[in-house]
Amino acid sequence: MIEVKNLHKNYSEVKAVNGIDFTVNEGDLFSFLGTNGAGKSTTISVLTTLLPKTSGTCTVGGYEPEREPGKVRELIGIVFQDSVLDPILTVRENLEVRGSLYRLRGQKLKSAVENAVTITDMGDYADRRYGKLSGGQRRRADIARALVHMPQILFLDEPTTGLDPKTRSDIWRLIRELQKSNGMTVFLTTHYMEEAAESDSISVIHKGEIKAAGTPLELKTQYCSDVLKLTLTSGEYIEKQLAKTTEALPIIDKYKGEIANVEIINGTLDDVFLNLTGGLKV
Amino acid sequence: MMIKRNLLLFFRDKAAVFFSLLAVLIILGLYVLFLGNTMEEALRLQLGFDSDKIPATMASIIFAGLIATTSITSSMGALGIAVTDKEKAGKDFQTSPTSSGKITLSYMLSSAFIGVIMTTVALVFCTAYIVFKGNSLPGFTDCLLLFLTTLLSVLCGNGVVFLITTFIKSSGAFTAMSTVIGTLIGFLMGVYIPIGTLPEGVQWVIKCFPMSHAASMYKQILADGALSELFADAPVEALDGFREMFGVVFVYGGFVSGFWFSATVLVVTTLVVYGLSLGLIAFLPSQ
Repeated sequence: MIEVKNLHKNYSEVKAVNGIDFTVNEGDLFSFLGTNGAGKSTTISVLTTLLPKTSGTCTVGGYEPEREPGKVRELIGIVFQDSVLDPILTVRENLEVRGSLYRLRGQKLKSAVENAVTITDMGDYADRRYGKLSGGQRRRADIARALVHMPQILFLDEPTTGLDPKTRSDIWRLIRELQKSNGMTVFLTTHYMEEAAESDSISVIHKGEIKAAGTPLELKTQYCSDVLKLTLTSGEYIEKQLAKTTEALPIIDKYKGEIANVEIINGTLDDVFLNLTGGLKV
Repeated sequence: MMIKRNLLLFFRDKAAVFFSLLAVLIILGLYVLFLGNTMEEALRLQLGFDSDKIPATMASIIFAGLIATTSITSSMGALGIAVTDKEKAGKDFQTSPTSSGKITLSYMLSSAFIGVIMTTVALVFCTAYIVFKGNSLPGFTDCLLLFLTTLLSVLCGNGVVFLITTFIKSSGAFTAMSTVIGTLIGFLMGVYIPIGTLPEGVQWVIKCFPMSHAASMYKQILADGALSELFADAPVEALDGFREMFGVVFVYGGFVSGFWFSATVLVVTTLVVYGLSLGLIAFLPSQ
């Protein structure tokens, strides 16, 4: 659904995106992972027809954003990092205005708005002014706006940044539901590793370059290891890095009689991320 | 839908509506309190005779200029939406299939509509005060001419401001620009100082500035009745001199501007600035 090959984007001297490749399959939930300023938003801007690329190729839904922006714009819905809706209009009014930009009129527009309100489960606050809503409610409204024309591809630029843990998990559930029940392709950026763990595939971007890509499991097995911690009855402490969790078995077997405590700690995506970004600085 | 949105954004923002009429309210307040008396006194001294038509004449000239000022400043507030959108909602519009030309047109139409509404409100207030000061109630033809002038003046002012906003990227810069324009325009329209008392060079700047023709048109409709009564017993030269002095007409060498000449200036300017802004938007890169 989205293909990016050797994409470069420079802002005069600064190389924001420096030759990245990735593919997002139809119906997938793709996480674009990176620290602040890694090049995530720049990539989104290029894919969503906001910025021209410097070099390389990219296609969205089979169209090149620069050559056929109109075609791409029909296909995509975007949740921007900062809110773009009008604070003094109600959510419904906002949705009607933005829906009209997709040539929806009259009854069609009304039902599209209602559909977006229902999917995002807004109900009671859809008639309140956008500016009066809480952070989580606003995010739902932002997502409803991106869905009003039922796009095939949904872009979300850090959709959960700044939200409390409960709201974050609610928003995530909503995103996954959208992907599953509507077959929507979802492209999202985040700097929360544990969130990316829920996606179908991940690309980690750091300083404009892709450092790793794959499924969450692949990344975990490749970039972090489990740790076995043994405390023996004699008081001796053994700590060992494991390439595979099963490697722990012979070790445990060996000390069988004298073990006081066993701990196997699974590597997490946080480790992957730190290894790939922070670790590389050293 | 976009036009409706822009209108809602303006009229729901009570402060924006209030501030677009603030200049009118301030001048009206000052005029009622003391400015009116001072100006009438000055006119009496200048003419060398007293007449019960002096208050009506003075008020209609000042307020005609004020209405012309409002026709430009009121739509400025509405165009602020276009500038704010560049910082916020713009990218949302840009990533939709709707063309930027249509979005631009929606800003122009909605701000022109707001300008006409607000100017009409100011017009009603000011005309009521002028009538209270002893001017005769404008007849049907005058009302039509007033409306026509409002339409032309708003469209022209709106176009000029819009052209400027295509170069403005932040709402901070826009606020600064509105303040400068709001202050300058009062002088150009001859609200604060009679044009005839200014140095020759400045007079020419005003005469060549297309928007000042709106003030001249309003003055002709509102003040000429009172003027002809005031100068009924005086030689024609005195009346002509007065009209030139207060910017009721502009004199270019031997040529004296009339109502329809000024209207043509506004129409031509409007076409030029609208064409320029649309052209700029089509050819300037979006980012």
